[in-house]
Amino acid sequence: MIANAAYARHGRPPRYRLAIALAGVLVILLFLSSFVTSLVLGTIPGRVALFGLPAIALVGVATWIGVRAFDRDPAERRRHLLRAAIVLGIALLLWLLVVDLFLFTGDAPLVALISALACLPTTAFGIWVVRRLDRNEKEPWRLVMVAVAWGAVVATALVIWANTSLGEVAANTLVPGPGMDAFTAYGAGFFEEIAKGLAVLLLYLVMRDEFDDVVDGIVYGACVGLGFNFMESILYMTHIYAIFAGEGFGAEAAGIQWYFRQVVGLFFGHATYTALVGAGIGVARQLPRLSQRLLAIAGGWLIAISAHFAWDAWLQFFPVGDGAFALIGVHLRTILMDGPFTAVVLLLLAMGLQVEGAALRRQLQLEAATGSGAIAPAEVGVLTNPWRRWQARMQVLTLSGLGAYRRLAHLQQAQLNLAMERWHRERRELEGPLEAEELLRRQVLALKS
Amino acid sequence: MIPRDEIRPLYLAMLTLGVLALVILAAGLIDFFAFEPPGQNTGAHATVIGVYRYDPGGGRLSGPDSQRFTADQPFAAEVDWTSLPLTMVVAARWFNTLGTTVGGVGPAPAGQLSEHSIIPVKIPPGFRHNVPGDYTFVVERYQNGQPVEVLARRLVYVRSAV
Repeated sequence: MIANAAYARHGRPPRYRLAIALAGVLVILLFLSSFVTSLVLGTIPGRVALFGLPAIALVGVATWIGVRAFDRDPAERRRHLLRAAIVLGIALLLWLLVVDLFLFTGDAPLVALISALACLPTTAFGIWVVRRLDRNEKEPWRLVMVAVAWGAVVATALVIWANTSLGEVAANTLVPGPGMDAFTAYGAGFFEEIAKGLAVLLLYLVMRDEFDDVVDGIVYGACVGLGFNFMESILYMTHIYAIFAGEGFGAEAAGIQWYFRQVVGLFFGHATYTALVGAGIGVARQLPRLSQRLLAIAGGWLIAISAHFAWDAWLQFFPVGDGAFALIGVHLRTILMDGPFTAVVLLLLAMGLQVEGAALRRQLQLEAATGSGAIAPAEVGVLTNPWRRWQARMQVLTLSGLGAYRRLAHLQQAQLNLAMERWHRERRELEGPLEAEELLRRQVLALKS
Repeated sequence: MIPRDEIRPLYLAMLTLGVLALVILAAGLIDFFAFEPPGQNTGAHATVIGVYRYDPGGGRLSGPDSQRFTADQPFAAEVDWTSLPLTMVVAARWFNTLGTTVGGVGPAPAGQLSEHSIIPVKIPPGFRHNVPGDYTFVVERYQNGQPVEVLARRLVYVRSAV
């Protein structure tokens, strides 16, 4: 049982089997993708050594930990197997990075490196902003970064062959023009949103103690989208550079790509689309019936696919204008075509925060009324207001230093976890009994003492 | 007091978005079939004799039929218009890797295009060379002012000259 979980775990619930099946399908797809890549790329130059050899070493370490786990006490075994799985996951990510590097950077690794360096600060800023949107219970950095890494490495590796094959089919069978654009836009919308959304779905299935509601879904989804946008920006910048380098303005063309993908379009585009997938999964997290959950997830996925489709297919119809007005026109195009979907995400986020805030307030008041001491009546007002929570921490920092600041931050988080746990129990969204709540209460009391 | 169905507005919002998505995707299908109308296969095929290096000054072709050029090599396709019915309205177009039209002829009845059998790729305004990347050459049949069927297709790769 996990003490700070939003619900108690006893045994493995059925959703784990679904998650394992999904992961199995993904591994097979990624293996096939790598196999085709090796056939297409032929010789393997030095870039493999950078990520490929550490990946092989990590596979070795994971195997060693995994084999040794079976010599251990059954109580310890699970922990060691988990470690082996994490190391294996890192190895897989590194290997996929090798694949992506070859596919996306072509013959211009230096340009790709410069593009990556240019995209890092903007993407990092995006991730920071998105994580901060979750005002009441911020998601752990490790899961946020897993979401980003999935978007950047796994999702891109999953879609590259689907998109390329679909492009080939279109180029060989359809009439060039808007019809062909619509066809490829369907493909891009469907495959890319499925590949990105799978990360949020797996987090929902496996890490439910860190996946509470629509707010969490939006945060994870947007982070997956930011990761995908990071890698796609490098791809487009490198590609555009290669096209225009011969004319002497490759760097300027790549810079313009960077501006539109990493500044103007940072929170539009992929971040918005996958946030919509996450919103559907987040709403499903709190619905009682399977049919409702499936409908909410389908709704989120469909709106993400259609938003992505609309941008790719109908971008050309937006009148950008000529001369100086073109500069305004291209900005307006992003705002008017993707903006409404981003506004929908913000609306869902606001609704989610409102529901979550009201629920936490209610649960904190109920907990305070029990007289357990975990939450004093006077603390309720502070805990339900992010600004007042921050003020309280800063006050402690000024008076008693960093250690006291950290202790108060832990206490506030534990109190909010307890309220969140109570909320899930009130809504009958838990799979286990009450011990987790009692453990959380004891944890809060221990931190207070 | 426990609020009843506090998640319901969010659930209804997701359902509404799902319906909106279906409307958008259906509009996409209409868009697709408007430009790619079904049942347009006439069985006709245009003959593209080849794609060759091209001399813009003299308007002549040279060298063997090729699928690869460098950006500083002008090139053109040669079409045998007599392979098509004389009254069939057709056009030939070159698209570069950015999807921009970079040369073409028509639309006009195939019988009127016999003087335009060589269709060169034009260097975009402000450029010194062709844009590197994949190029597509298509011969299309027109109906009601829009292309509805591809009668021939050639793919060419242009690599950077630097």
